[in-house]
Amino acid sequence: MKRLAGIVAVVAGIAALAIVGIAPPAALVLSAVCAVGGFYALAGLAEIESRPAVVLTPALFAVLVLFLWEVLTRGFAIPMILLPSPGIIGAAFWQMLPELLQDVRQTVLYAAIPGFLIGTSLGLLAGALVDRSPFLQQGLLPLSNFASVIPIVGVAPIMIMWFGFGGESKAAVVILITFFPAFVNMVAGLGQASRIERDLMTSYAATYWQTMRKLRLPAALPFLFAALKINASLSLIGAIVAEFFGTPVHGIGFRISAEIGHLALDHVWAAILIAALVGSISYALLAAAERSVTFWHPSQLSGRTRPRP
Amino acid sequence: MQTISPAPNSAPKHVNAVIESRPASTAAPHSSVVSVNGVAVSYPSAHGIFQALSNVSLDVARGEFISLIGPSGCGKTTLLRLIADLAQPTSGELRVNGGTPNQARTDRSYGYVFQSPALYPWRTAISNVMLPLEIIGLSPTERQQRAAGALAAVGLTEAAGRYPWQLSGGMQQRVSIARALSLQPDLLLMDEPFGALDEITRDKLNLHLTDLWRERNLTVIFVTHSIPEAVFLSTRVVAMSANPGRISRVIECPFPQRRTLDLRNTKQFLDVSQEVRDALSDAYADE
Amino acid sequence: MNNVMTFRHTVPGWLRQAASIAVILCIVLAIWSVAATLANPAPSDPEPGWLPANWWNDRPILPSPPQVAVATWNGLFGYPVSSPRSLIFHAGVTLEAALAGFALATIIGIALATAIVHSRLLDKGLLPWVIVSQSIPVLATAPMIVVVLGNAGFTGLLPKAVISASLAFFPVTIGMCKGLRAAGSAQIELLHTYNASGSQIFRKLRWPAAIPYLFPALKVAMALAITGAIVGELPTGAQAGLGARLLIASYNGLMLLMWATLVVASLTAGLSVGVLTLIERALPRFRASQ
Repeated sequence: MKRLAGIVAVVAGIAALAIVGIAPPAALVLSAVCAVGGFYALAGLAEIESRPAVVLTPALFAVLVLFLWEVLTRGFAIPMILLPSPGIIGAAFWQMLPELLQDVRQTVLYAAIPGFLIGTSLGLLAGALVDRSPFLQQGLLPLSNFASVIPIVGVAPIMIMWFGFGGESKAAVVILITFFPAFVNMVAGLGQASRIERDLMTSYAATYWQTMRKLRLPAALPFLFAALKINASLSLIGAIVAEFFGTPVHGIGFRISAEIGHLALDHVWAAILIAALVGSISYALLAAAERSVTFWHPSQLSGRTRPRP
Repeated sequence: MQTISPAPNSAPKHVNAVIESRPASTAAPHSSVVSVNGVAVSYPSAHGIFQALSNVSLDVARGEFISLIGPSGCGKTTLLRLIADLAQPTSGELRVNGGTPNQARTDRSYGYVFQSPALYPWRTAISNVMLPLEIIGLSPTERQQRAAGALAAVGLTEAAGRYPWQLSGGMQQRVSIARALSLQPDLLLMDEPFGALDEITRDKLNLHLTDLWRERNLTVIFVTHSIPEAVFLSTRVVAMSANPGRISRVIECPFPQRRTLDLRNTKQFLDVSQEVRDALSDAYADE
Repeated sequence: MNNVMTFRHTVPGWLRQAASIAVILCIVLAIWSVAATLANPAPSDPEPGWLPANWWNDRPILPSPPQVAVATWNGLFGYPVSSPRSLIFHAGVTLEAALAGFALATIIGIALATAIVHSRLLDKGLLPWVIVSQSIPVLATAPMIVVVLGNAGFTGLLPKAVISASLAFFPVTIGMCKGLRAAGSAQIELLHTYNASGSQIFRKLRWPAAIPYLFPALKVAMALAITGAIVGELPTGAQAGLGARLLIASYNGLMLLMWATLVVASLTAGLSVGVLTLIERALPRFRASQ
């Protein structure tokens, strides 16, 4: 039954796409059929617990949403100035790709990555230093909570005055944004090793560095990866928003504000698309690295083997 | 806190080859493996000064198996931690192998088994056993050999490559005992190692432990809540009571060194158990 | 050792924390002061005073602490609240948009989470995308939202509120998904033995069990909403709001105005989140069983 609904949905969908240029009302009716059949079939797929189903459900869900976006924008002739269709965005993306890659190079290579590396390292280092002073820890944690609340991107104009319009000022913003998550997670992560696990090291008369290397850093890894993942997306956001305050003629943020000025919404969407791709790819890489390094952590073990008692 | 005080010249660091039999009280203090002399531990708490231990004295001779038993708050774990140099006494003196506990710790002359296995989940069983050997800087081949030997001693050779979360609770605790044995200590300090295990597993591990103790001529200090366990394993049971934490009675367990589970059905065993029970019910009466 | 323990047990925790915060702030101020002394050229007509003359440079590279304090004070209290030079006025404009966006985000987030925990289709099909979207720079869409809504005839508060909401609904959604699932299966089965309906289970168990998860999510959402409102004020040529003020300061190179605006923005965010913390504390105490 649900399989049949899925087949009907696919047929109706293809037909709707085919005739949307010729007979919009008929296409809209067909797309309604496709939507009902599609979601009904997907609801069936969502019940299945196999690995392919778990990947396929969100993928097909997205395909269905994109399809509806395409047919509705074209069927109702929604002006491009409000919402371009996915097809138009895709075409713009393909046509602008060389330019977009240059933008990515400016924003990611010259601002986000250096800022991420420096800010995260400084945060981790500061966390490791503060770990040695319980007194400072007490005060730094509430202060960092406060720091996590303030809109740090606002320092962009100051950084531009200090470091100019190039990538350096954006990297400086990213350093400031990424420092605190790294710091807070380092402190919390180093606190993860239990009293007994530490006593064990003490009973071996292990040195500070041995305890760090053999126990506390490995135990902190889940927190460190949390920091890396947060910082990966924060550094991209920071670099892009900092470009809204002014850049040389490249960069994803620059592209977005420039194309908005020309009301070229398809180009804006294309720039957003590449930013989204960069963001999710970096996240996926970090998540894969995390899985291979913290395979032992209960959060990674769920479902595979029983968690540790 | 952890400054190393100079070793007194009179006391040898290790007392080798002197395999003494009980009773410990007749042995000269310096030949005891562990000697505790008028030790007290107190710290300020929300309700004033808390006396964790008060005027505790105990001598443990080589080859003895001592159980510390008593209500919670009687300081039995604290006493074990003092011996291991994981905590410091407020007053009194402790000697381990004739030196300070700190010297014993830096010499790695004891093995400590905690309440929970405390295995590092990112290390396999054998790699967990190798951990202390890495700390003391043995070569990789030597580490491998010694760890394999220690795992074999607890009967876990097959599980060497498995991660802690792939092992049962009893197997995890056996790995942690192997880890303590890998340093080849003469002295084993055990803090309720089998407290979280079911009765049958506990029996098996008790049997295993008493064999290890006899075969390797270990000295063991063992914290427990279980009277049968204490009586079955020990040469002497030290009953403690709380508020302040102190030793209320020391009970001899005059059984042969080689022990099997049948021992627990003998009249002698039941008598000693009753004696411990009486000593403890006095301690619990304080509550 | 014993001295430390005595200190730990006799001095109350909040006092030790306050002392620690004070020490850290003093260290930061000291570093800042030294940096300000080194960075700024002395003004051409130094006024006599006990502070270093270059701390009062009119166009500082790094404004000194008292300079920033004075600029912030003047921005806040030097003008009537209705004046376009008053930072209270601009903070009010930004906060209004942020609160509207925050409210929108809370409603959308809770509704979405409720739908997700009740529908396997949304759980399996939509939730993965909500999680993926956390790694996407959503803030990059801010200029577009302003322009598109402007073309559709909406200007002023609404575009900024939409930007705020688009940032802030993620933490609410994800927090509430966790929260609504926090009730243990034994607790749910207990209600099943009473033959409770789905909505009864929601009201009596899932919702109260989710509250401890709601507030941490709301605090993150509030911080994001304020950032969103500020960024939403950048591309419009808006005349009012902290973002607009920041942009004007940036164009004219007014370093002191930038710092003062940033301080006010931080205070606004800190106070808003602080209010949420107070509400959370005032609620009956029960904690997530984690």
